[in-house]
Amino acid sequence: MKNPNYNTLVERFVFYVLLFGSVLFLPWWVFFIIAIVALYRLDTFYELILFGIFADSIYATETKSVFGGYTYVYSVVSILLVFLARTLRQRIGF
Amino acid sequence: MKTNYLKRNRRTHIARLRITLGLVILVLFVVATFVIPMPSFISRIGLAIATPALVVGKYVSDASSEGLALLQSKRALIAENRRLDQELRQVSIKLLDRNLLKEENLAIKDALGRSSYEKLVYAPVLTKPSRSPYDVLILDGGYLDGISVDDQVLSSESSIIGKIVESGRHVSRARLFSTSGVATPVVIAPLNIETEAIGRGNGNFEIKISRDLEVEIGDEIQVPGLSPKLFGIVEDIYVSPTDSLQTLLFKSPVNMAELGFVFIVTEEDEESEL
Repeated sequence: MKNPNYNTLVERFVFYVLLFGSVLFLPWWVFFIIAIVALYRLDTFYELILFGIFADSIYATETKSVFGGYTYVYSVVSILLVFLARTLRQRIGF
Repeated sequence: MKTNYLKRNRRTHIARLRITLGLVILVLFVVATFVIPMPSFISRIGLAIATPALVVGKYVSDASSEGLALLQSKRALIAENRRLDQELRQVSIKLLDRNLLKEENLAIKDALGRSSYEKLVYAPVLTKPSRSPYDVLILDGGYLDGISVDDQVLSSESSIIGKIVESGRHVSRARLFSTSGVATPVVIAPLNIETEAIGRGNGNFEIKISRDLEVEIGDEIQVPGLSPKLFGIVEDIYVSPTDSLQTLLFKSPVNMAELGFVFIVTEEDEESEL
């Protein structure tokens, strides 16, 4: 018998591949667009934070003139997006 | 069947508590990460995961651009071949001249007891600056290839674009001088004016100097040293009647979007008898 969560699992896996690919091969803003779509489509998507940390681990450099030398920009924006999505889902139930 | 629901005010209270908790965790995370920058072992794990995919991506991208070239018509290929042939002849003549000058330059330095020999390492570019907001290059070459932190990154033998900021086993990360807001000491070659070039992102720079200094479009900007490196060529000059400064705008000699490989200056043997 087919797992009732099969489609969600497939969709989740597709978003993993898209996010991984966007971090490595596409302009930085594409990552956030895919992240927003994933958060809209899936009930919870905490894995996004791991992808944010992954992106920071590859690209982040301590440069005072870029985000004040802050090296966790992707991670913080990912946490913020997950948090916002959760709050909005509870409030307006999309 | 009887069902018990939470009272509305209790549900609202729990929701508010969750939001507050989430915000507190976020603020704590931001504060903690401001104090502790990204540990290098996390960076190395990330690069180790990314490198195989980046190498395969680079191979596929190179192969597909070659495949697309095969689809061009024969007439277009012949025309391009002729154009490139002409360009090659012109460049070869210039190169002869340049090689003679370089040999002469080295001979003079030797005679004066000042000689410098650079060892260059070829490194393919795995990711270009547009892929992250940090304006960095990921390079296929690490400390096993002799690349170390603070090594200069050149786009050609004599044109400098950045510096190595992290070096792993087989991969390294370079920061471009054009990173927004980064100041680099440079010299405007013809008048030997020392100043600072401020990065504006993606290979663009600006310099603010006194409007009394006579700088012209086409003047070379160099990084000073025993073997000065080309940094850029002045492309535009803005002078406002109410401003005592003039703004020089220029780009790196190479287009960052087309950058396929770089050279790393891994060591500079300098002999001085003076």
